[in-house]
Amino acid sequence: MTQDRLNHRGNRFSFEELLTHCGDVSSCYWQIAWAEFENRYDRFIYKKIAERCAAMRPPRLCLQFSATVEDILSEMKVTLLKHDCRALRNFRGKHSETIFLAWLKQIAHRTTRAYLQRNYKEYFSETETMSLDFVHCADQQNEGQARREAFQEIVASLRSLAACNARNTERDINIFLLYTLSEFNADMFMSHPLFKRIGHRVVDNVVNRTRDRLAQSSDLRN
Amino acid sequence: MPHRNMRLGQAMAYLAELSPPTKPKGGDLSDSKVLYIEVLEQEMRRIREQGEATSIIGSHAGSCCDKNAGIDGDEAFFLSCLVVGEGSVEQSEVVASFMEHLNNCYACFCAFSEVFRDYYQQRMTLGDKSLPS
Repeated sequence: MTQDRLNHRGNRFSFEELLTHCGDVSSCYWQIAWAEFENRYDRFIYKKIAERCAAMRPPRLCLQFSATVEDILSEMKVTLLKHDCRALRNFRGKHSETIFLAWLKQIAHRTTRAYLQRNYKEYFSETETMSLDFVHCADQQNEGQARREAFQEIVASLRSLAACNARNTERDINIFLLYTLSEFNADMFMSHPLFKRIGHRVVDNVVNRTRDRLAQSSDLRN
Repeated sequence: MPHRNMRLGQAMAYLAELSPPTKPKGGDLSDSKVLYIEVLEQEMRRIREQGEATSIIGSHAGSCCDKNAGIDGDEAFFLSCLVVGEGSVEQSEVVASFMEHLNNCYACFCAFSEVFRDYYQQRMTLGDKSLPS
């Protein structure tokens, strides 16, 4: 089984398997999956929380910055674990880690905002206080926002990674977006009036090459 | 003039499979759906004959939809894509700049993928032999 050995990145589970096991408390891999989840995403979440804290800059935060970020990180995990991990179980972007990262980022930002508003009431007006219910609902609105953010981040990353003399940069980005976010398959491209001349292999090559580029870029950022 | 029970992508699938010159005569289609497809076919023929396809697609290239109308519901735009897909007009330049717009505009990207998903699924339903297996 794939769970019994590590892949080339040192992960036991594929991304989709990881989310499935983390969202299923009855799974025999639940604890292992959560350990891997923390190993894979804690640093990303920590970074997003720290960025948000730095952006909001409530008074005295700098005196206890690390402790605050750790607190928010714990609070976010509690939120993800609530109701037998319902938020993860209901997450519908399991096919794309990029969408998941955008989703995590949004939760990290909102958890940070809620935490700071609660603990720095004198600084933030009460009218801005918000609830975290959004995580528990089958949140189409949030997923839509996450998809939009993923869309924008993918485009920005791929444009920055593209060679300056690349001829088909925009077309390739478009193919990748349609493939990952809109779940187009090779046959759909072949039937599409604007893509039908490019051929199966081009779609496969573009998608694989783009994934590798994004993965390398992500590794570098981390 | 959108149809209440037939999405644009579905109607385009009938156009791609049955026209020109045959008009759709699917037994399962209501009169209003047949009429809708016929209106689209006339519009598509006009775009083809007057050579407007590239300029219609090009009108959506470059600028952002915050200032201009997007492609959502723009029948002329999607019909132009079909005309360009027929291969009778040069498409590389205008399509390339439209791709750039799609990558900048999430709303247009969503509309574009929705219509062509409907188009593909309807063509599969119609059993187009030209589709790759």
